[in-house]
Amino acid sequence: MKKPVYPCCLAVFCFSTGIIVGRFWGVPFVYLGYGLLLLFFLNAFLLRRKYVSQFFLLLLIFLFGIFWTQVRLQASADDISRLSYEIRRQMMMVEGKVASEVEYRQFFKRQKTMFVVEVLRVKIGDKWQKRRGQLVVQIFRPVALEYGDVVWIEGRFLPPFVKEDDGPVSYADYLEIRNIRYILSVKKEGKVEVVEKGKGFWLKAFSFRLRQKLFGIFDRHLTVNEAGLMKAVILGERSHVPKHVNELFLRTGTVHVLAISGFNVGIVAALFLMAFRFFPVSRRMMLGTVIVLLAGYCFLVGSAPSVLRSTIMIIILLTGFMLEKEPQPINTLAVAAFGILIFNPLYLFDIGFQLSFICVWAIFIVSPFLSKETNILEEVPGYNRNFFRWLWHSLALSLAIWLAVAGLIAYYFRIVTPVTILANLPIVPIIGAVIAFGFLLILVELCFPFAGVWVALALKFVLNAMIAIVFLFDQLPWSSFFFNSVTHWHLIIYYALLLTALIIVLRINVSDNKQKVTHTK
Amino acid sequence: MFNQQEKIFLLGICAVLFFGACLDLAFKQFPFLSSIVNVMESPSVYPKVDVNQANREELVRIPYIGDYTAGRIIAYRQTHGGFRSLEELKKVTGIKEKNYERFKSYLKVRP
Repeated sequence: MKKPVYPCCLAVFCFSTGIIVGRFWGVPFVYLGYGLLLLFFLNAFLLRRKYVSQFFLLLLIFLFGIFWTQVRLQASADDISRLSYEIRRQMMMVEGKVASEVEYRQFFKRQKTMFVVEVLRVKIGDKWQKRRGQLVVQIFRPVALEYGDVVWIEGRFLPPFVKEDDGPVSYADYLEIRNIRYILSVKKEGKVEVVEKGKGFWLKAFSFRLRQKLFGIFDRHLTVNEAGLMKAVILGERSHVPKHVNELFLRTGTVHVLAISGFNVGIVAALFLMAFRFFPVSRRMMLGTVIVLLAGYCFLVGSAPSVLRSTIMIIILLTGFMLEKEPQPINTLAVAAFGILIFNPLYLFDIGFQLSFICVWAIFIVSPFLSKETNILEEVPGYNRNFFRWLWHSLALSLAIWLAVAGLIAYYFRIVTPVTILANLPIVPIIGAVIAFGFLLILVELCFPFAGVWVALALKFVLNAMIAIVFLFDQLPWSSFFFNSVTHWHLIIYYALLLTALIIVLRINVSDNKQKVTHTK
Repeated sequence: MFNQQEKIFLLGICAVLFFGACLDLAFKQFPFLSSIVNVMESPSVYPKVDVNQANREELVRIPYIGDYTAGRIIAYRQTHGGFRSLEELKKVTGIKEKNYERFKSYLKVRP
């Protein structure tokens, strides 16, 4: 047996397999307990046997994945989802604490109020019963509420809606990943009463207030559509993105730029690092402060899996700089995955998590093979060579990412977008400018409000130029193809073929290198 | 005093402010330029689908068009041999003026 090059990757693979088994098949807790104990002692006794103990350790991680997922899926006896059907179908009074930002969405001619409530008590008959768990609340009228309010809400329990054209992941699946199984629907005349205020976690309350303040900056200087786009790119609020703009980005395969990911967090880190250069602080102090600020930014934008992934990776990288050690990128990726899956194993089934990780995997593994320079570049005159080298590397990177995510995109969104490979070339640098201008606008508004309008105009120009370019790419023939349905078998076959091709390329590469070494000898 | 990276950073900020001030001046002098720049608000950048070519999946993706309406559009297309103008969509059973106004920016009829 060869020594594994990426031990963390193997561990994450075993843990993820355990999560899949735990979610879809399940193993009785008694067997799991015996298995975990047995493997633990086997590991302890066979610690000196290098490969045998490694095998048992991986098996232990696999079983732990099953166990952890099943614990997460198991609702406690007083969980709100455990109410009997007879009780659930009646109108019910729930006492709970507003646990998320309160959103006001357009619903036909009216507005509806939406938020997540952390249940404290439920009134059954004339008695209050203590209950736990979370519910999504939909009130079909605007109600002035904020995070941390303790409220009495009268409504009806509904399972999340599952539509025929939902695709492989429905709204119910999305909520289940976040441990929410019911919606509390409150009609126009349903009772909503605030019992107590300010009961939320102070840091979260502060982050929501800060978000609203930052939303205000974009609302003041930009049009509704432009502000909606900026809120998504800078603060991770996707619900404000105009539908037609979202569709344009989806059809050109560039929708990833609207979600906060490694690219965005990287730019934020670079901006922080650059800004700290002007302060007389030591290198370690500067890196430490940037790590804290990045964690704060991750908290501010809502800690979605892709944000968590990129923040963890960049924090590991910066810590490496602090300790003067160079982290191994693939192992860093695996550590980030392990951290997120420990936090919530069901994130493995989240689209954002899957796309984010496969994308970075493609950047580290697939892209270097594709971007190997050919002899053609050597024939290009010197002054053009750098440009062509950049173009070649960018195209290779774009192709690698597209190949990696195409299967998942086709499976979830029923669309394949070959135009992405070209569209990424101008869009990625432009979105970099948009993010930088967005942060500059916030900074200028806070320090020199009179100059905010100039930064906003520059931002407006770049933002609209980006939309015009995306629109032009969408107009190209065969830019995107729509599918009726893509099954999980198509997905498995696609990734099996991709992996086989990668292994073949890898082997050819290794044999080429060996030949080169023997020739030089 | 400043190293190269710091100079680039400060120059970048100055360039953005200068560019924004120029735009401000240009928009004040020539107000029509503002509407040219505001591409995002214009219906011309809506992702347009050819109503005579689109399949059910493409039509359903359009905001305000559900499975039922998409089915009616395809049925109309099959019986009447296609649409000659977008206005003709109003003749499809179930599509009222208000609905038509909502989704017309997403559709086109290729001659």
